[in-house]
Amino acid sequence: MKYIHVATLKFSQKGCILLIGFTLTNARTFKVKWPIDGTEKIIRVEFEYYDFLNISRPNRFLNLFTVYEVLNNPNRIFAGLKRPFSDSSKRLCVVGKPRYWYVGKENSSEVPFPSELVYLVFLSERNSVFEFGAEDADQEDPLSPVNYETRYGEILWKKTS
Amino acid sequence: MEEDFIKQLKQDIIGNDFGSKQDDLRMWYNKEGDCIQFITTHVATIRKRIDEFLTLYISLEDKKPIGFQLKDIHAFADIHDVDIMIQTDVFSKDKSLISITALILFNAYTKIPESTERRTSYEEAYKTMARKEINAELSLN
Repeated sequence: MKYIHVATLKFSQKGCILLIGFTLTNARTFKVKWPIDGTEKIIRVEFEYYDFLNISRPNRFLNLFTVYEVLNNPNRIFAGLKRPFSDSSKRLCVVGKPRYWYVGKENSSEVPFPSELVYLVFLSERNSVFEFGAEDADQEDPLSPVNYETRYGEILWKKTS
Repeated sequence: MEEDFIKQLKQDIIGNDFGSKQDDLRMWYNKEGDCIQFITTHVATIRKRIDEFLTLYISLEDKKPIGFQLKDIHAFADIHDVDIMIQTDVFSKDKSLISITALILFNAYTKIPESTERRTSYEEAYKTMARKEINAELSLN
């Protein structure tokens, strides 16, 4: 298993380097401003998944750019995936309308995102991306996926402007 | 940190590893999501949620199913008595993973009333494996 050591260093007033933080992670990470409370949330993409997409799923790997955009500019956040035999109440589905996405396996396959679709990013309890993709938008609420009213536990947040 | 992630992505898509095993139609068990993901081509897809267990990946271009996500694998395996198979680290062996996927799909299929759209969707999921001539032999032991 691969790990990244993330050290936070700071210079003291006397010019010494101080180690003020040290974490061990087995995921690629990035921060997003969480719209629900305005705090920063660290999003994970596990190395195992990241590497698999990179090597074996080039189209989906390219769409990690889209994932990044959606998580930084969501329109809806739902909680609870309603899985019948496991507790998924703390799993999230973040929904957005990205400007672009990738339709092929080449970097040049970036095209505008269709207006009739929404893009979904699923997060585990520890904010790890485990699934993502486009779906038809709901007719009543075009910023939500089709059938959103019956497939999630609750809506946690919706963009108002 | 944000820029690092994007910088890393940009670096990786011009690296030698990018897409180097794209012809390997390996199923993927995602531990974080407790789900199996399988896709047969590298084109734009739309997810179509069938029910709490199955989501189909539909090609944006020709609207045909080209893969699926099968969810709640451990729980599903429990209720279909294949827990022993799951517990023996079968996820590291693709052939076993395919057998389990086929078994789960088959079990779910038989429990869905006939002539429903859900049942057709399970058939489509199974066919995506068959179309690619993957060894999807059912193991009912």
